[in-house]
Amino acid sequence: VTDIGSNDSLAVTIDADGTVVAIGDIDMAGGPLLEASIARREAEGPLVIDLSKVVFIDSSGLRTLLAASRRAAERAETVVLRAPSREVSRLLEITGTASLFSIQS
Amino acid sequence: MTRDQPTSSPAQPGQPIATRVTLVVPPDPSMARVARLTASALAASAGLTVDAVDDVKIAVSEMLALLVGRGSADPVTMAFSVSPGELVVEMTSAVPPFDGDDPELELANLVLDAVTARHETTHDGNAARIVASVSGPVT
Repeated sequence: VTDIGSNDSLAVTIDADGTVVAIGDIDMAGGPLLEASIARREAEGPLVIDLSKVVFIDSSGLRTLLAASRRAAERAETVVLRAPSREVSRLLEITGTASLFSIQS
Repeated sequence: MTRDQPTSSPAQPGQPIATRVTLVVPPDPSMARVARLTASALAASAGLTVDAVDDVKIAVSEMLALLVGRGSADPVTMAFSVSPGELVVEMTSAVPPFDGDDPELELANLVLDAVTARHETTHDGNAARIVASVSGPVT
């Protein structure tokens, strides 16, 4: 496990299998940290993001995931969202963006 | 943080009170968490359900992100009006006007549509004002 960093909102690690794990709040403070973690990981192959420990997300955080999805689509890949928490699932539903990702429960 | 009209907590249905709490924060992303904590505590004191409190947290975060994202150095003033079964949040800050086609604004409005009973964003040429209300049955 590689500890990528943390701030008041979010902590991010990368597992041995390359999964980006977000813990905490993906908001306008946590989003940039997740963005940096994704940028570090996405050149190495299909991106998997574990969102099971995300307790809050808003549209500023969602934009980080959407940007990753757009970049993945340019590489003919799909971002996998693993075990999205209830909060993440709700925002994906509200915004109608779930279909842009591969959701792994 | 100021509180204009102290009252007992939690508020009870039929109680003709509306507590107004004002919070002024710097335009810093780390303040989103402070705003959510304050708003969720006030929403709970309004007797809102857990789901409605979650809606309040999302609404406040969206509103603050819209203002902080404008890049102004001016503080953001949040005024919370608490009454039984309702929390009204008003945020103002001296920021440039919004572009109606801004995808960030569009996405935030989509979320605000879902989590608030009503919301409105206006700009008077100097400052933006965003008002949103979350209401529901009192627990």
